[in-house]
Amino acid sequence: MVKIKKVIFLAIFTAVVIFSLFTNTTLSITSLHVHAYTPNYEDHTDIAVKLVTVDGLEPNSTYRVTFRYVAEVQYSVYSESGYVAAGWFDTRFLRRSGVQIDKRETISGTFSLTGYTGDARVLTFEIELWAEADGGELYSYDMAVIDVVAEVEVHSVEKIDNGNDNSSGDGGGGKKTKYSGLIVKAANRKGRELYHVPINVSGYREGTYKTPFLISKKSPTDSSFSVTLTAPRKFVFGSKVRYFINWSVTPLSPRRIEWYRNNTINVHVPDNAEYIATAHYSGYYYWYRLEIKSNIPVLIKYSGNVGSGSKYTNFTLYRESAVDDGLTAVLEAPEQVFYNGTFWFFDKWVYRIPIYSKERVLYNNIGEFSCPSQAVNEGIVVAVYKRTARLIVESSPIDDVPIQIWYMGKHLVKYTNFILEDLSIGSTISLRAPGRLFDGNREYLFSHWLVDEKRVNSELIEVLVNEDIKVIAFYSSRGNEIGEGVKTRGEWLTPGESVNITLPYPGVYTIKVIPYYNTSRPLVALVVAKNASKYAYVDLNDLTLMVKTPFTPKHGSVHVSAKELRKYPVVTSGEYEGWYFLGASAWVPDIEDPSVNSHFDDPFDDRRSLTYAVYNLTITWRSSLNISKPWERYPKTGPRNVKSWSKTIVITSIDFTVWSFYEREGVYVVWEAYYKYLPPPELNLSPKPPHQDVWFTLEYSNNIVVSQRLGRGSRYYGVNNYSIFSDAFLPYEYILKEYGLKHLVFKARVRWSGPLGSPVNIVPYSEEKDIPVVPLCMKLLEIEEKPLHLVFKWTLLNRTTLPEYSRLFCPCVSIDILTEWNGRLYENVGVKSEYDYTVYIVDLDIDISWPRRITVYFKHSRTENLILVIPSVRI
Amino acid sequence: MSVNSQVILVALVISSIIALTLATTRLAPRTGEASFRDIIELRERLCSDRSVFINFEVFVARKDHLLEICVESGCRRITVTETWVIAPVSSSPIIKPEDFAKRGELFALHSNGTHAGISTGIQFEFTKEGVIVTYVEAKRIGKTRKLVLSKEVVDELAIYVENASILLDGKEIAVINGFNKIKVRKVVLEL
Repeated sequence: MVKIKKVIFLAIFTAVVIFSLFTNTTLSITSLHVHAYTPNYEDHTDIAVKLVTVDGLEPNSTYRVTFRYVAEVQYSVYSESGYVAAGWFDTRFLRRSGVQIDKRETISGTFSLTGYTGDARVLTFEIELWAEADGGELYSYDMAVIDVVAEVEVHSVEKIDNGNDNSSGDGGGGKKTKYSGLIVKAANRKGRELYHVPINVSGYREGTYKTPFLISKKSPTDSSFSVTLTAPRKFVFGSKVRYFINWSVTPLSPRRIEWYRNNTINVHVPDNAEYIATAHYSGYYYWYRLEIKSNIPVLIKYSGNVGSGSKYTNFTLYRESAVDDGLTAVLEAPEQVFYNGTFWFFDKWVYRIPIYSKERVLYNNIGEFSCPSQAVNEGIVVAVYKRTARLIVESSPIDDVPIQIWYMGKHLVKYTNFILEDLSIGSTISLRAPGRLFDGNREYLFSHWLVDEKRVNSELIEVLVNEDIKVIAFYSSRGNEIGEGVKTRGEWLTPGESVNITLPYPGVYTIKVIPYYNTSRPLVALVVAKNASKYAYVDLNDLTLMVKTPFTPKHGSVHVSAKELRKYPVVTSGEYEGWYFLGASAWVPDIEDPSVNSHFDDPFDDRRSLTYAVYNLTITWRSSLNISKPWERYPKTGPRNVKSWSKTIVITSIDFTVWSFYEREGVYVVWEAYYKYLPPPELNLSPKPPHQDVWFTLEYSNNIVVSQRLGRGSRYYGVNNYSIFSDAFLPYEYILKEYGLKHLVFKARVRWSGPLGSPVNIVPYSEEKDIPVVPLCMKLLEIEEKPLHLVFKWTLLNRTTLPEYSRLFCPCVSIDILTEWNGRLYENVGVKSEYDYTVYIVDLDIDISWPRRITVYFKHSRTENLILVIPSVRI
Repeated sequence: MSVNSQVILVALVISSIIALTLATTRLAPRTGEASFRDIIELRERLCSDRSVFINFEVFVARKDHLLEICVESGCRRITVTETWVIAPVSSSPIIKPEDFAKRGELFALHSNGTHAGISTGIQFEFTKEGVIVTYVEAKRIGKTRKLVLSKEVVDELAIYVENASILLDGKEIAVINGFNKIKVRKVVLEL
């Protein structure tokens, strides 16, 4: 046994001696020891350097020397975000992060260095071992420790060639190209490298470069150079910001670090030397910016986690935070502002996040706005003030008169009756009515304009808009003396609505109402006693009125004083003689007459959608000799003794279809409104779009969930043939908060606009619809995190059944993905499966490994009389 | 009622408010060392979502685990945290901590005779609206005398699945049969 041991020992010894002689190298083991320890939030690095000499080499030769090492590593990390690391030179052989207590590892491997011997027969290498410990916590006590004992020996020596100089070791001399280099880097205070920091370089290789980059020079004589480096004091990358701390400049070997506090430094790289300049930056802060703007300068009060105060628009609220807790501000705008010689009124807030296309509109003056997270860290809020008015243009006794309009340098033609909305206060609009026109075989001549109850004889008028104003173009029929009548196209009204009766001249008027079909429901006049103590609805037929002041009907709620009442037409005969005439309406309004909604003796045919409540209204005027002189100057063509007008009154109601247009975070509810009952075809009255001042509502448990006024909205509103569109946005967040993911049925109704401009009573006979609100989800079938692969399936939540009429609609969605770590939105990235039309596939070349999160939005295709709630998915 | 009486009354009301506030936020007068009873009370406070100022020092540590929500093909891998709140106690019964995957409650008691504490687990709630998976994450670790539990939704994931399984560190801990919504909710424990 002893002999065997001796034989083995001699064999090994002989092998080593022979190998040493053969390779002419010195075999020795070099030990290095480093110990890094962080007792607090500062990280710590320890570096050990030792020289290793390889001899027995040929002069003027380049060798690659491979070293073999064995490292015994002990380490502990006490925080999830801490780590320890160790390595040779700029390489790393160990990195362990997260909680690691009393761990031990043995790591072995090799690394190579290349050297040029020059005149000498030896190469000396500086071997550098480093270890780093980082506790990981930014603002608190943490701990990490690492201890590395490494043994290094030369594993092999390989001669490369005789000409090149890639020396890392120090050998002999020899002619060679000299090389100097400066590596410019940026790092956070824990030493982690930062990329894309723009550094301005001057003096040599001038320009702005992004870290990391290399400035180098080769020269056979002198490769030294000097540069001036300027690092930005503040570095913003994505949603994070860092601040400059200092520069460090160190030669590659030996390591001695020089520090500079100024962000601009001069670095001299000597001949044949390599340096590293590192710009050190603080830990990152999240930044948030909310721009507050308005269309006129106003003083906005703000309060929130950016402090409080008030500033004139436009201004920006900006916040930085070490944690991603966003910026939130409550803004309050003044209700009215006197600016440029007039009052402006607060209209709404418009809040927009640049990365989203959708805007949020808030009509409440005090609103809370936020840039809630690093993914959504920029927002724009605009306080919108309005200074607008409406111009109502009508004609009498005929409709559809083409009026030329000049406004804001534009010329257009519209047919009466129409309303010009959103006109700037103080603006002037020119209107020209045609001098004559034909309706069938009858010729009409222009008579005059009635502008704000004042008569203007010119066909061309200029209207100064300071408030809502109404103008009427009056026409007279050629030769329309006694007995001559003018037939107009129908006026479409809903039950209880005001009949448009204009009495333009002083004199005596007789009103005749003849229904086309048998009906027990007459058109009525509202009359009030002289002392305003009583009022009554009386049959409009055969009413005789004395007019002193031209009368145009008032819209909406109007307060009439006793003095003003004396200007109203007076009933001249019958039971109500001496009472004042305030206006006429289509039947007695339902608040006065509950039988209106009783559907007893309905003139409406629901089956055929016809109305038989069609009336011929004729107004006959006679001039009165008792009228005071001032009125006599009005008639353009001279006073006439008798005139008559007639028009057809159609009483109907309003029907609608509810369309749903889907966005990422909600749905636009769009009401398409049209008249519910049409007059019998034999009357040859073409339909019109509704014009009434009504609201469309979606209601649940007698509460209005969402509503919009006829013809108003923000995206899908306007006129199309015989329909008027209105829209309102309903956010999913609101539905989910109020009702959860439940199947609901909203009641869609039409309501009158009240005196305060809000929805009040239901419009009689108008349509009511049940609108199912159905939760829908996109079920996750497949997921791969890198690269991102998702498969979703269109699925009705709660296994709800859809209404019959919507069974055939397309289960089509478009899919948008927001990557929260960089705020990027990928739009319409879903592809429908070829095999299952309810399955969608998303493939994106991104990595969502934890802690990266994404939000997936689903936008459904349009639905009719059905609202789908499709919540987004956050993965 | 005289002015003096009113002043006394106001003083009594203010002092009562202060006393009540202290009583609700402190477990007991400051003593410096915890008893096993203190740890039990601490757990009760945390279970009832209360912020707690304690009169003894605890050490908070944490460990990461891998939670996987696996659907028909593939899994969403989420790093969840196990948090330990430990304090030396004069004496205590030996209560061995359940394995994290089996703990089943958000705050579990454990002790070894010389130390006692609370270890957090993963809680599953099966509601009408879906399955809610909740875990606790300490915002930082180290020694503290204050624990603030923030149950606001600081980070919530929401996925709709059918027949999914939930794995913790590679072992299946729950199976979702049928169609359901899974919410993963993080509760933050601030020190």
